[in-house]
Amino acid sequence: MWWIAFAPEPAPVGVPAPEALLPACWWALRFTPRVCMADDLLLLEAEASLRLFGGEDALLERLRQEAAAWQLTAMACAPTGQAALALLHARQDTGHGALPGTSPLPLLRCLPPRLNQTLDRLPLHSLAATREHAPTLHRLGCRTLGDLRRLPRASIARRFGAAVLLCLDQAYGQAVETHAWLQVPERFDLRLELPGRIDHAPGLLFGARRLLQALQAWLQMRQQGVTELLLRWEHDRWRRGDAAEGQLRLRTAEATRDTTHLGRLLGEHLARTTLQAPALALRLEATETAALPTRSNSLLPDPAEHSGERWPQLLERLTARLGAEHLLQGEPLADHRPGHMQIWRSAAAQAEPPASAPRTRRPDEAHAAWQPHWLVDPPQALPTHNGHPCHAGAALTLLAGPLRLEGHWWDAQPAVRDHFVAQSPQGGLLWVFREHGTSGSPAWFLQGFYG
Amino acid sequence: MSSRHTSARLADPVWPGVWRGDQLENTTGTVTSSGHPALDAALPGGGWPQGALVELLHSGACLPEWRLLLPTLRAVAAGRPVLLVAPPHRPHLSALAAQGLPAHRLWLAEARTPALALWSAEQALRCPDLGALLVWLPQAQPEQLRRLHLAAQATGTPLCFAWRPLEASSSASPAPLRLAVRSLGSDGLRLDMLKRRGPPLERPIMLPASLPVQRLLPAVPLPADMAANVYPIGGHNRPTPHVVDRFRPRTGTGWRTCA
Repeated sequence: MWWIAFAPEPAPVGVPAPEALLPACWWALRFTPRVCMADDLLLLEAEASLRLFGGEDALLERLRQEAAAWQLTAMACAPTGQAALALLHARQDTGHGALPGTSPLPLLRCLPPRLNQTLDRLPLHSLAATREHAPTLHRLGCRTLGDLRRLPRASIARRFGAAVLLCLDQAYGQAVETHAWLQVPERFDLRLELPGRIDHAPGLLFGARRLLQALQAWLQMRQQGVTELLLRWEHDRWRRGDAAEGQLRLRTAEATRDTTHLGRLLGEHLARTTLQAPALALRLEATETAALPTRSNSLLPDPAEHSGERWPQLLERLTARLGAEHLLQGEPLADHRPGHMQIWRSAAAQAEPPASAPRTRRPDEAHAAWQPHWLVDPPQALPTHNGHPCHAGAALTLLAGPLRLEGHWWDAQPAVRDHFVAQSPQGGLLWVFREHGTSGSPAWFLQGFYG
Repeated sequence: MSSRHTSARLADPVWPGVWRGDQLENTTGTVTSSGHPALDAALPGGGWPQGALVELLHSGACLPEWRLLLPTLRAVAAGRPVLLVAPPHRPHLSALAAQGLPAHRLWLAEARTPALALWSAEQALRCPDLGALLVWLPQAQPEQLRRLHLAAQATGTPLCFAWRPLEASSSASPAPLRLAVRSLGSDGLRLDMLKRRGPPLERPIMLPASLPVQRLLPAVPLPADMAANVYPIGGHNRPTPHVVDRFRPRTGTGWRTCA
């Protein structure tokens, strides 16, 4: 057996320690399925994974490098789980806690031949079971685990309970350890208490990033990608108005576990959000996920792999900043009226371009030549001078036309429009039409430009 | 050392990016053909440069975008998306589809402010999937253009065309290629090469780029200078002024800064 324990940095006030430790647990599940929380520390057993990760030293080195990102401050490695926990507790009590974020982490390592020797020297409060009896034992003259071991076993069991003996035996590898191994939950729903009140929505991003990091670990464990996220924030209880909490729903076009991209998207949305009251806590929920298998690494580097954002992600980000109604993709419609030949839709909903061109009716050849390249929508009314249409203060010359196009008979007011190609004095070619309304003189409109 | 010897030694490309003033740059980057042979002959590398800002200046009255760029965009849109940022109007898809630019490759970003247009363009240029970007910048500072150019350069693949008003021709620009585009009625374009990596072009390039609507119009005689002024393709034999001795724009008030 090969055990590793991690000490977390002190949890923020008000957050139960196990909850703060969850993201790190999910990260640790990457290395072994045997992960648990014991004695407020993170404990994992990784004997079976050694070969996969290239041996003890390689795995330890990798854990040390990655652990700092998960708010862990120290790690210990020992042949038994209780010994690993005891090493960390003894270290914390001596006040040698490392600064959070130190990379690589300080490592305490106890090799199997030296297990008894090391444990014997540890103080009594380093083991969970002996901690509460430490003052009594101190008065008996027992200061270390070694002292305790030398006492008669039957008397210890009678006076302090069998649990102390069991824990001691587990630490020395003389009894089997049992732990409740951690399971990854079915749904991701994590709450984070903010260190202080946040008045502006963009300030929530820092907390949201931590939650996203946890989400990434969860997604990796479940081999899922997220398609819809719900970020909620709880308002200050004493200052809230009507709403006790606010929320932000984020949808992605394709399942992703790229938290950098999700963080950017959240940032765009939060920048446009106003908080109704200062926020105290954040809660992130993955409301919709989809299976997203991890890709195997390829021998040859894929040049497009890491060189930047993908197209769908770019569209999502542009949509987040510009608004869904301002990032558009057009779809041609089968209609003969120039104003109705296309419809513009929000591009984020259809980020993945269709494999082949959609089937639409092409305008027949004669009409295709008439079509302008730019469309003015809705058509712009043109002033008239002596019955001639004018644009930009000068009369237009009609070069070709008329091309009469009528509306559908089932329309409420079927329009009859004579279309012309006109030239403006500045040299541009315009597509204008004359509409025969019900009232007297025809009205002129500008509908397009030839580019 | 004689000057003749020096010029002979410099003739072969020593460093990428170093070229003689009277020759076109021997570009190392990839280019996409403009589809107009007369224009390709005048562009360094023989086409629009990928991963560089191309500045196109036009007067507000004529909209020459599609006539000039459709052949290129057709080729690009075969495999990659084309993004229009802050266009003056909405494109008419069936007209473009009839000329070979499929609608499902065309995206449109309408920016409410110039700053948003610049931001969108810069973000898009950082995406390696993008095929071509057309951005309309009625007002842009040189440093903003430089950001766009750097973004395009870093990604290296997209074509980036910035449309600016003709009045901007007298101000400095970081774009390595600048052209002023004027429309000659419905059947031609007149391009003035304001800046390129190579000898200055004193004569404008006349492109016979006609609109499909042309055949519906009554025959109009060609402008008188169109036939006479066409720049001989591929001929650089005549003595050219020094590289910094660029021509003076007719509309400008002073010498253009060579940026």
